[in-house]
Amino acid sequence: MARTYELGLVLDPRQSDEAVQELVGKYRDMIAAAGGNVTEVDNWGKRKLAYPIHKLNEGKYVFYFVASEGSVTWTDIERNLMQNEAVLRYLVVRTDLDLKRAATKAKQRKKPPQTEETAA
Amino acid sequence: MKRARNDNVGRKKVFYRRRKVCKFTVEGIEYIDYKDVKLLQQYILERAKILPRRISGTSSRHQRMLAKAIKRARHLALVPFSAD
Repeated sequence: MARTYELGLVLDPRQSDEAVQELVGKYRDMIAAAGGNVTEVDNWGKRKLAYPIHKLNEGKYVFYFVASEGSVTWTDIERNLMQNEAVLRYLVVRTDLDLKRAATKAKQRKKPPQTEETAA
Repeated sequence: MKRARNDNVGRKKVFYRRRKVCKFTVEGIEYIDYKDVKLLQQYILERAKILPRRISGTSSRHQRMLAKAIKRARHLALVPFSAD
């Protein structure tokens, strides 16, 4: 039942680092209020955009890694992100299913070669 | 691989095409991260299109994962939608 998510943000590069920190903290609190637990924040800093957004060529990238006992209610957070002028882009991705599948596949990969060898 | 009889005597044209392999299968990659821009860029053509698997040899599973990752990365402007 536990889920994990990732939240990626592209922020206006004109935001100062302090303002970015403030925003990061704000959304961390919102995620907490929505039933999530931010396990890690990955701050990439300023990075060139692959294409201009609002005539800006750079953005400040922040990624959140979120774990949750149940699920996180993103609706309010997403609405807030959408209305926030400092947020150029955001992306919420649920990762637990893909990561779990990847883990089991990796395990399967390790096993079969051994059994094949013993059979041959 | 059998080729049709080549009647051009003395002019044997044999094409050896390198067997294409799926990089992700070989390396055992089971999750393609949209944040891994360096990796994704290897599968993006100059025109910013996704490299077809007929060229890259990527397995269908991994091609799907790759396509999804690229599309996610595009949304965050990590990777272009189109060449400018």
